[in-house]
Amino acid sequence: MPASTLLKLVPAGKGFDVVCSIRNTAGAQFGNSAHYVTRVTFSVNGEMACELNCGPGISDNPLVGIHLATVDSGDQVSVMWVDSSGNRGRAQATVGINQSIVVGEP
Amino acid sequence: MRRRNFLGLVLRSLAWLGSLPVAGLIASRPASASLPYPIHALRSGNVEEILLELFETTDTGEDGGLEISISSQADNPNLIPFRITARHAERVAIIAESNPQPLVMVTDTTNYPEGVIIGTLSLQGPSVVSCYVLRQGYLYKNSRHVDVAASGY
Repeated sequence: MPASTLLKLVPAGKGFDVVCSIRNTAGAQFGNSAHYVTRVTFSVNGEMACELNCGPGISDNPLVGIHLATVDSGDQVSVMWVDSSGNRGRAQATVGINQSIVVGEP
Repeated sequence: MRRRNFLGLVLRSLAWLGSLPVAGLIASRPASASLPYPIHALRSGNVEEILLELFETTDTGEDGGLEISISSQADNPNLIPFRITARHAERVAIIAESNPQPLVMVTDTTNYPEGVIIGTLSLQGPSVVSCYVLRQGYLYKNSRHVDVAASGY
């Protein structure tokens, strides 16, 4: 299975939970993979909001996310990730338009 | 031109010239600088070493505003969801103390006042999962013990 990125904006409190499901380890759904996600960057309208630096303790095919309290309809939320083998992925969603699951390009 | 006016002009010019490098440095910094990937801390097996590298201290205090939501009993040790809330923090680190490489995740949250971090981690066995937060120069800690049904990793 190729690497893939699912991005979902979930209304939570006064804002949105930005939840990203990353599939970076083909076939290794139960651990023991040689590579792991090292960095996940969340941006709003092109400006970085938060960058997570991860180690081997992050799960395979992780779910990662942040909460954004001050996004408005039309704001573009994007996520980019890279793993220890150099695999990359990204996805982008627009608040109020396609805020359900968005499949990004690897 | 009077001597006093001339000296004032010279002093203002020098002050302006002196401010140029500083202004250049400020302008050249990105709006939200990212934390360099802390490769040594992420590969280290020693929690104190990790804390010293990330926070330059191991002295911690308790913080009621630092919330950890994680299951106390994990059926699948390779996929344990967690949610951290650390509002108005400068840096947040999540450490699974029993893992060979305990540092799970670290992030600078200076530009992210909400401070909510959602993720899934993997545990090799029962472990204390701790969240360390740097706020206004002080390091705070909150921990949860997680039992696992079987060995993960």
